[in-house]
Amino acid sequence: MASGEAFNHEWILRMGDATPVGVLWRALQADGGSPGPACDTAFQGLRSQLDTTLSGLNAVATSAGATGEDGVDPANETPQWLTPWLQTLARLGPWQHGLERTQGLQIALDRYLHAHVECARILLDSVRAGLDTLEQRLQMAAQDPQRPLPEDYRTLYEWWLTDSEACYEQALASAQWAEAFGRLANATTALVDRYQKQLDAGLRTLDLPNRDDFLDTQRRLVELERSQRRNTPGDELAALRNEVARLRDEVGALRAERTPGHRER
Amino acid sequence: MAQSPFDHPLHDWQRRLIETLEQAAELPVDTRGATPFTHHGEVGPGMHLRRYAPQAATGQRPVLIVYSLVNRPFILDLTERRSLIAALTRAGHPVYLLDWGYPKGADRFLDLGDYIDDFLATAAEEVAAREGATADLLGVCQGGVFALCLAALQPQRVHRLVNLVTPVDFHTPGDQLSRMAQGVDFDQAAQTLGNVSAEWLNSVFVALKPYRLLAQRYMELPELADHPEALHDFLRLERWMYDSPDQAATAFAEFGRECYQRNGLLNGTLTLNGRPVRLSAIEQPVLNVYAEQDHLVPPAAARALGAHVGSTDYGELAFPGGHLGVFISRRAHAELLPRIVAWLAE
Repeated sequence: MASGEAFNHEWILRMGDATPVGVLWRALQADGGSPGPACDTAFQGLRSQLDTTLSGLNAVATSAGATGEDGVDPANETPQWLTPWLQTLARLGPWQHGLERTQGLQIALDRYLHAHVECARILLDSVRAGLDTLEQRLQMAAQDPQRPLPEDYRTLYEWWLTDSEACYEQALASAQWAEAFGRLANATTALVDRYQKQLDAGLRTLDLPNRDDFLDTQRRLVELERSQRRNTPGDELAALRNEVARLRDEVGALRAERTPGHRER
Repeated sequence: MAQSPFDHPLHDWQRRLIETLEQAAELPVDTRGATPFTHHGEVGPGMHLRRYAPQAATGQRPVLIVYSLVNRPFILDLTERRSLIAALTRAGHPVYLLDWGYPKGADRFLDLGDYIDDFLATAAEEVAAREGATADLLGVCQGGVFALCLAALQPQRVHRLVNLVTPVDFHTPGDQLSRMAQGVDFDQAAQTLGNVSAEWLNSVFVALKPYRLLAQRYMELPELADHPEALHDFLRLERWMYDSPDQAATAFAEFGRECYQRNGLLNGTLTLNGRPVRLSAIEQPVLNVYAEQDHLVPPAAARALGAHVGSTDYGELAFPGGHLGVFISRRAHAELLPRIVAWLAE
């Protein structure tokens, strides 16, 4: 089937509904080109999508439990009194190292989830602010004959892009975002570190080479190459360079002799 | 306003998008660059020195291009029409490009001292030996920082210096990348993650301008239907944007900590192999090119060099555009590059 045949009515409708601007454009058309009830509904629908996403993220963070530096949620009393018991129990008996690793992994995972939610919340707020700005802009244009409303999809798209980007950049410029981004980056690193420790311990038990072993070998190799590079006497380097240049010339001469147009004297 | 979907303006846009996608599928994407070159030795692990022959025997001094570690250098040679390298070879310069390659596992332990004091210095030495003249260095973005370090620590290897969109002050207002870097524990990241994944780094860069880079950029794609040359350029640029090497962990952490967090290049606290890098020690002529709408290297971040460099022969060129515009825009090729070429010919 050619792509032209596949490009049907339903596909267009689906594409339009997949983007916020498509939804808003359809609503603007339904309102006769000026924002009215359909646009109100469309904006509310988009905001409620953001709310649903945010509440889903919040649920994940709440179930993770930990928020503070000590890995405990102050709003959740049960982990607060249970945590010291669990920490102490993990230090007892023959499996204490494994238990401590597992606990550490859980705390790292909780911190990662919270950091992720914190960043997502800032970004979702900026998306919401962008929608608010666009809605106000449309309403102001509707009331002012000097300011034309978007008459095509492309113009509405440009309005949405400009307003959303301005709100996004405002969020990115905030100290709150810089701190949240740092926390997310560090929490991600800490989580990976915990997974690595778990895996390394398992491999060590099976007497298989683990990450520590590979890194140790690589470090030694780089240090050896560095020391060779820096300790090679200058004269030796120059001699090698001259030798390479001489060999290149020789190869070039040999190649020239073997070219079809070359005739021996 | 009852319209059938087929009367919808969106319909034309979508139809043209499909045409463009079909045309794009037929086009090859070559990341080698437009200008022929020869390999001229390996100066570090997987790091090759390329030589682009001059197109005219004018006896011009060689130019060694020091590109950033973050992306691949074929942006400098994107097409025949838009090639900074070709502009230099046309002016008679033998051009060398240090291709940093793609770091492998053990390269995670390479530090900035290895990259600059060893590999870049070796490249400059090779060029001088081959051409019989000390090279002019052309540093691009992070590569400009490397070129400044080499000029400060090994001045005998650098004749003159052209810096393109090179950050020097990493703490200027409006430097979004720097703000985001302040809270990151780079050393822990390097130790844990090893060589920093290109995908991760690209996602950070895209996150600075997601509406432009992920939405608007593709919105304009249908306009390239039936413009094969423009579509080809678009695809090459698209490949370049995401064809990034991983970052050698130790060097990346050092750059993030010393430059972005401690502003060590400006403050003189950056050290390589135990030796401090002093911008005041740079006495070679310097041409500093910055972009007025650069969201990665704000103009003030680049222009800070003027107040700290030791050279008495210091000049600036402002380009009215963004970070990439300096290399690929028509305006840069019509107005900016001729001025750089003229400066190098002085």
